[in-house]
Amino acid sequence: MTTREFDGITLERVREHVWEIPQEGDMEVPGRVLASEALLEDIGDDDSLQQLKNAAHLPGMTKHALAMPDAHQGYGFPVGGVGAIDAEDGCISPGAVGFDINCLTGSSEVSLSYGRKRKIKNLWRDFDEQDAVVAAGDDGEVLSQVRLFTQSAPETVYELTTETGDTIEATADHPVGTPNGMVEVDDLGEGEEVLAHPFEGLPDEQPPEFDLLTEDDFEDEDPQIVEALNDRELLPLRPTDDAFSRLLKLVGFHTGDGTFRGDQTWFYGDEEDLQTIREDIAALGFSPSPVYERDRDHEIRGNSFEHTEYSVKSGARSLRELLLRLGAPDSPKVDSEFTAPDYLDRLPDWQRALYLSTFFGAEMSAPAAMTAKNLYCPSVSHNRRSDVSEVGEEFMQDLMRHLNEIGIATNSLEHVEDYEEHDTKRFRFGIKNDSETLIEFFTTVGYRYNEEKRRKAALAAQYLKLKERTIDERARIAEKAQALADGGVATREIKDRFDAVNDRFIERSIYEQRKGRPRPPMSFPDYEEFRENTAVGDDLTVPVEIESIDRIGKKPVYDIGVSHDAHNFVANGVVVSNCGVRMLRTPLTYDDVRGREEELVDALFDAIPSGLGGGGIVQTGRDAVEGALERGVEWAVEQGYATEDDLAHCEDEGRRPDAKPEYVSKKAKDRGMNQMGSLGSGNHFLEVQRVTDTYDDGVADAYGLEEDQIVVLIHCGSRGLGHQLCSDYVRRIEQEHGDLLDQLPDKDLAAAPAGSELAEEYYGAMCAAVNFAWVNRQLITHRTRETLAEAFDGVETGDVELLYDVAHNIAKRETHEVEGENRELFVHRKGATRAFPPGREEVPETYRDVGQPVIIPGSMGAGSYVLKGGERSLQETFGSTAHGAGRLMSRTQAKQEFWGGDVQDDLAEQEHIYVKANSGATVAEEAPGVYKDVDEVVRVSDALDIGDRVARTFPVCNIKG
Amino acid sequence: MAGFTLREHTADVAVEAQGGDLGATFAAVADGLAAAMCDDWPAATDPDGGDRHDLRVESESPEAALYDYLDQLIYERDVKGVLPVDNEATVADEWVVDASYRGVPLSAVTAREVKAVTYSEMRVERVDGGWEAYVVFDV
Repeated sequence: MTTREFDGITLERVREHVWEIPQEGDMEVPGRVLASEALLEDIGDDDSLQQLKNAAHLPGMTKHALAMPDAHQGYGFPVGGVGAIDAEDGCISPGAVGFDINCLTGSSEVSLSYGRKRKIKNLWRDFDEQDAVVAAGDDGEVLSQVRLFTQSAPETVYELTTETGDTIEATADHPVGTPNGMVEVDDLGEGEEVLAHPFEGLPDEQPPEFDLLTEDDFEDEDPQIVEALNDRELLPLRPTDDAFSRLLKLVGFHTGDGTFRGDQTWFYGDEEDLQTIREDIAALGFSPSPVYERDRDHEIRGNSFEHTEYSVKSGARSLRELLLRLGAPDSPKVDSEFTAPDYLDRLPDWQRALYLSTFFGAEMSAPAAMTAKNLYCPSVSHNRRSDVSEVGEEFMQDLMRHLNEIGIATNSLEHVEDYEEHDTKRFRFGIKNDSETLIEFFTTVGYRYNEEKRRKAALAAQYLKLKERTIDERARIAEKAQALADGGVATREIKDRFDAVNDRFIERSIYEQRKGRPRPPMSFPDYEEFRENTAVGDDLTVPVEIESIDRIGKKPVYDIGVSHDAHNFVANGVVVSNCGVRMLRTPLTYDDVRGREEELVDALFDAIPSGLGGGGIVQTGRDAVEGALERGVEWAVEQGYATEDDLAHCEDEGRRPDAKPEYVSKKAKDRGMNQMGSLGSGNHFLEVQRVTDTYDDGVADAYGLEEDQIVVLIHCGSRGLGHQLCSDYVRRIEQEHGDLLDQLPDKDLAAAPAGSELAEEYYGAMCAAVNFAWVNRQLITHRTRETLAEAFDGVETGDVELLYDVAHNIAKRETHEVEGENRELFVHRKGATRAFPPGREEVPETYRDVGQPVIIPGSMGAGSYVLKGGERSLQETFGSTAHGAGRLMSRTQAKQEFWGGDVQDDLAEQEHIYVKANSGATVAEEAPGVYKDVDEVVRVSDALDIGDRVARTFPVCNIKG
Repeated sequence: MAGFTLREHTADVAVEAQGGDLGATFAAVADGLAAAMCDDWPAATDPDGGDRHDLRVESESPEAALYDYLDQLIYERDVKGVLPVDNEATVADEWVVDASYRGVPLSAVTAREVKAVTYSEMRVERVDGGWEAYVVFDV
């Protein structure tokens, strides 16, 4: 494989013009550079490659972070960078599931790994070390690393209450999981269904720090065992170790459905659950066997039957010794003198529950109906040989005591029956079977390593909650009815007041002096009926109706983001002032202009404000700024600065519908006020050019271009307004999402999580700035038209037509196919141009059959190109190509090497290019020699078929700041 | 002794500055910003020399304070139409910057536009005898 290295960054050659920086460390995706060998030398010469690598760290980055052939060092993202970032929301859960936890109030509890739950506001101290539970639909429950945590100022919060009485407090734009995907709270109504995740877990408490097992505990064993355990970093073993929590689960389940045979440790269960056990064994560093399957014949009391037995084993003696020391009983268990491990007493509830729930997954009966509307209490039975039966009894008492201490009441221990022939005693206890206790048990401890029982527990918990809530409501009515009757209100009137219950219920409440709580009504579904009609997902979610949504005032809200599909970010720092280019075609030819270049450059320079403090074409009030921000070129049409035809030839028809001027700060608008219709300075310019070559006559014809024709290229952006907006949001992101920022390699990659309020505000503000930029270029167009009409006989303003206007500093919400799937992405083009091929519906109708025009300005002496969106641009670059020549030399160096006056003279004398600028320094800084070879940039774009050559132009005269 | 140097940066311009204290260092960066925009401007005694203006920003860290300070200078440049030169600044506890500058009317100078301050490669750090800062400006 061909590789190249620049400053310690290695690039691998994928194919001609395509280089890849392999994914490493915390990079989300690999980096890709599209360049020829010669351009790669230039790109590798500054920090572009490091910046590309940094950008590849942005959460949600999809496929590749890309550098176009003209890439050079910027700030944050390299200029010439393209990054597509997932714009969809994923989910995570406290009670109701499915919210990507944006904007929940502080008391919302997040489900973490190992059945722990913690209030979201308390996640700050170690969120980046936590795995949160994500309900991933058919993929089941998935653990996903928490990547960011943020807290914001108080915001208006809504309380959503389900018919089972669960509540969640969230902002109106907070997405909630429903059977039909994620829906924002705002768009939900009473009676609609959301997905609940009944299992909540236990409060996350820190386990104590002590050495549970050390090398000393294995001193009688073969030293290889200690070595094997040390290799896996399992000694010393402390309750705070992640490995310990996994081991607790294995010990609990093994105590129920496991055996030791020789050195081997065996587990028996359902195929699906054994896969989970395999994963835990592997995570500890041991190699589990595949899941074995064999058919077995059984005979129990004369009845023979067949069943398929599944099992998994580990052959590692060191694992066996470890489990034994952690309290897994030696075989045969029935003869063994084991109790629950003593160390459980020192552990927090959630760890004790790991041991209990895995044992229950193996041994406890599943929730089942006892009568139509009541459930059996789930129970556990346990046999021991008579001579060790007292220890067996002690073991059962231990389990009960641990449950009681966690807050779950149990029935008393029964000594059930004796199997005389085997000389064993059988003990049994159950969970106390009132609804409250059962709900508590199913939602906090429940079963583990047993998905079937977990699904049943989720359903049972929801059923019981619904039943209890119905009963509560009836008890409330009964009490009220009684009070009203005592107060002398007529029975008929009381009956009329309560629709929810029948007359008989009111009568009994009044006359029969109810004892205890009412029963559910006859119409309340039986458990079996509920089970049949309620789908529980593989991710253990259950649909539940919304009872009410109430506004409950302002509270601080919190966000977390997880690395699973919810890792969607709209990055900010990579996008700035929406600068872009537009090209105007004129009816003039080079012969019309030749000899009059100086006159023309002076006229344009006088007509179009440029440089610092040059003012704008429209000296304007705030209303004009607001109008431009909101309506873009449509505003210019209203004001007489644009035609309907201009709208048809502009990207997005000159107006971004997502624009939200209200999210543009006053400060930014202030700066916009005296700059509407101005070029600015730096690399921004207006250039009169002649078409020197056409490469694709059909497309050139569709673009209205022919050789020797005069065109005008305008390159500028939203000016100070766009820059202020960028600075404002970089600072807000820093203040509101600082934790995320700290994890990124460069502060200028400031990013707000997609779906967060800030991201939405930023996107709305940026779209408004894009509108402002279009208006800016439109006002310059207007002046250019007037100037040309004045200067050339027979030219009317209407003859100067807009060919196209495209922003090349912008993030856009677009749909792209990634690995065969259509995904909504924020495509960030930082100094890169959208280049959609024929057929994409975003391309204006005029050009849809030939592909989007792409305008690539070169440097003052080198000419520019018009390309069309290439056929491979969607696959390769999310529909993007280069945006210009790309800078080669720093401005300070340029000023040392060139003098503005000389550059101007040389250009005029040798190239017949007439340049006029406010500042000689600007001319020096923008001298032709400071840019990369635009021909080479375009050659690579063409060769990769991401943007194909249509025409080349050469400068005639140029004005700049 | 406070001072600044303009440093090379491919597309942009960078300022490196030193000062005896944080305020002097910030002011030196601001003088560097002025130099990045303009080579020469009228003296204070000149009729076009301009008036002094005060400003104050409060931020949560030294880097944020420097960013906000320079951002405010660029904002005032555009809105007031002046080039901020002869900068003075003090930084009080918890990053309150009190600063002033002489605002030379843009009509009296030939200046190039610096578009924005950036966080790219920004450094604000203590060195022997004072402070040093490095800021990249978007040109």
